[in-house]
Amino acid sequence: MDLQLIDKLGRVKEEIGRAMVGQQEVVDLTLTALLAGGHVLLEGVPGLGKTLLARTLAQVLDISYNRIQFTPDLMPSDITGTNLIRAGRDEFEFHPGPVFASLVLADEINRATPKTQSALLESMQEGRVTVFGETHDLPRPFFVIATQNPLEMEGTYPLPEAQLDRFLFKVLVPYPSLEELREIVTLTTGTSQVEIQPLMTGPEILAVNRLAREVPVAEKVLEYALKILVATHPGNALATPGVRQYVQVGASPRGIQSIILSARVTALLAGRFNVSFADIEKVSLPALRHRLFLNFEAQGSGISPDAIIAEILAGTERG
Amino acid sequence: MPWPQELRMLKKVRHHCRIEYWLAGLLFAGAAAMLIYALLTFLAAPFSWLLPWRLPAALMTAGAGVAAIWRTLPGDVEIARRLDRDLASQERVQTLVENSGGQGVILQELRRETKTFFSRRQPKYRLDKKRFIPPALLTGAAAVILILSIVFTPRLAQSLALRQELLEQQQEAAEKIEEIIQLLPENPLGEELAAELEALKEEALRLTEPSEFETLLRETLELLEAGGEQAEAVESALAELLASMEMSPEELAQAAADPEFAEQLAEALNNLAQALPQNISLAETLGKLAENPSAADAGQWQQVQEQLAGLDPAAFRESLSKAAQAAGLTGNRPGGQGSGSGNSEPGSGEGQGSGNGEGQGSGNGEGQGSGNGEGQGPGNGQGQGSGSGQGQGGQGSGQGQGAGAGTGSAVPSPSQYVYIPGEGEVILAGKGEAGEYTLRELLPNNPGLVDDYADFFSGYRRQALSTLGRSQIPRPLADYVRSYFEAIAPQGGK
Repeated sequence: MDLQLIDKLGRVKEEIGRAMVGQQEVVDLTLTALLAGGHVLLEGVPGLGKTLLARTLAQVLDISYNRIQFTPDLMPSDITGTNLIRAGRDEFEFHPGPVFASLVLADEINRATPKTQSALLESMQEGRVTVFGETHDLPRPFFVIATQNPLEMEGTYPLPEAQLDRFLFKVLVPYPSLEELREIVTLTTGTSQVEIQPLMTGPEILAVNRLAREVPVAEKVLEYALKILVATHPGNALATPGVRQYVQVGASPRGIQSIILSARVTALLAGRFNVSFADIEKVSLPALRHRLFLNFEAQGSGISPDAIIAEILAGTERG
Repeated sequence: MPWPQELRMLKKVRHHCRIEYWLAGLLFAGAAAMLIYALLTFLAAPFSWLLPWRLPAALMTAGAGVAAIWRTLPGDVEIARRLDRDLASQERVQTLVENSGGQGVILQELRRETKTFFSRRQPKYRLDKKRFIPPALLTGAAAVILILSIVFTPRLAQSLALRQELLEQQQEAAEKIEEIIQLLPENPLGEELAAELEALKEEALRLTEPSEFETLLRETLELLEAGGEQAEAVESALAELLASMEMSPEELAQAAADPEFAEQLAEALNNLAQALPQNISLAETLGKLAENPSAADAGQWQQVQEQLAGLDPAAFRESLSKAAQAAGLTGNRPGGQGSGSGNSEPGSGEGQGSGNGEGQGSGNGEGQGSGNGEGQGPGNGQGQGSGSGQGQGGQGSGQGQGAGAGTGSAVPSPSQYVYIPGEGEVILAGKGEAGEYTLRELLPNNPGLVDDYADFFSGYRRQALSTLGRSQIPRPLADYVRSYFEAIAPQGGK
């Protein structure tokens, strides 16, 4: 029964929480994106548990997992795979790359060249890979967690705007609190090992995704989400003063798709079967922050997309 | 769409919400009705035919308001949104209402979960106070406006009626004077009179107090009387001169050489020159001739004779009489001088006075005069007189006398005709042992001092009011000047 899966979702969060200390919002948003069928871009300094999160998710959800460390010399075929001649056989055989996993961790994605980045991003968008004219479907579910380091800019290739748009969420990974650090130290420097139990399967994730799409959205709630999106457009009447002054390009229609889809999943994760205004507010920031492109004035003034979105949320009337 | 069965526990709250919408709407409708009533009440001041339409219009407005409420009554979805806000149900109610007919696993779960949600917390109705603030304020303001309209509109109507009456009086007075001007013949004797009447007509259009019209018409009549008297004097002097000049110009030139005749002629010429208005050239010509009649040649005498032939004082006097009669001023002179005796203690007592009303009518027939006398002194006195007079035919003048009784607390005496500003006294220096007198002391025993006061007052007032009309003087100050002249008017200002 599909509804039993919803009960499982709570247990999945608990199980991840056994391995992941703190970072509750990061876990929630990542799980939300996964259940919504989207991809996540994690941004944070090294050592905050991004890899651990991806690995734990794969274990709990019992899905295949690959990690790709992006470097400048990484080639597209290193990701997608290539055709090889098998010994003793006079023909090519496709050798799948690391992208052929249900959960792919693209570590430091901004270190690879745009050509290599686009190979992965094409897979994210299409759900398949084409090598030498032959198309190979990726496993389903297919979920990419990409990370990027905000500090090191030398030798990096920032993701173009069009490619950033492919990510459902951009999640900022904060530093753990003092209490969380204490727990991390205790957990990781002792002798005890956390054994993660698989609680869901790939087909169940797809089933939850289908179920989430049935969650109804009231007219006024949808209107609220739409208002938030159009408020990011500098020329729109609903645009806030901050948007008019600092935003160069607002969010695309993918933004509203991301908001609604992830809000539906958020409602399910909360044990509700309808989308609330609070759900929309919760997902608006991660769904929109990488879709706003600020002008030079904003960069010079230290204005972040988060501040702009916060202003929009504060100024948008519900209903 | 029907209210979902799963939300039946919210029906009571929904009912309260509907009542709340109705009440707020009714407040708006009531305010609109009151405003319409107040508007029509205000408008009824100038347009009195609107008065009976006030209540029907207000009721129709209220009815329209109720219809508008009915049309804009919120539906279930809107009420569901309101309930979601009030009950913090995270949009469950509106989602359920919007999807009340839908099927599917998730919707079934939504119904079950919503039911569970409200079973855990009792839904309570919360009055939306903010909803009532605008209609309550509007209704309060409308009520205040309505009260003000009911209280002040009668005064406004009265004020407008008085204004209209004043305009009519102005027009009537101006028309009367214009009629007189039109009836005046082309005669050198009437040039100055016509100019003075023209000034009075302009003044009539500027008067603001109904009481001033009486004074103005009296002045008009006095002008006509003065014109008549002057014409009579001219007629007499002309008859005397013509009697001396009953000969041809040549004979007259020769006769004037006789000193005795020349002296007689000079006196007659002088008399006529004095009687004539000083602004006409004939008066100057006659005056020069009178200085040395023997020096004038036949041509000059002929010229004088021709000019004298153009004077027709009798006809002029008669035309004055006809003009006054045509304008309705004859035989009904508004007011004579009254005198009374009474208690002179200020502010108390009652006295009786007898007044003589004297009216002069011109033309034939009988005239009746009524006189009002009012005096001002340390106290106030008022006398009323009525009289009847009989006009004498032919000459067109009549006199009426009346006697009346009046009550008052002071004696209207000649001394009261004189304006003594404030508490001050006008000190007059006497001769010899008499020393100094105040004007107030002097007047009772010397009423003759103010005999010419009425004539003086008339010109003085006219000049002042004419100046007021030409100058940009603030209205209160202009009214002050008018009240001053009312105070010093010969008959107590009325």
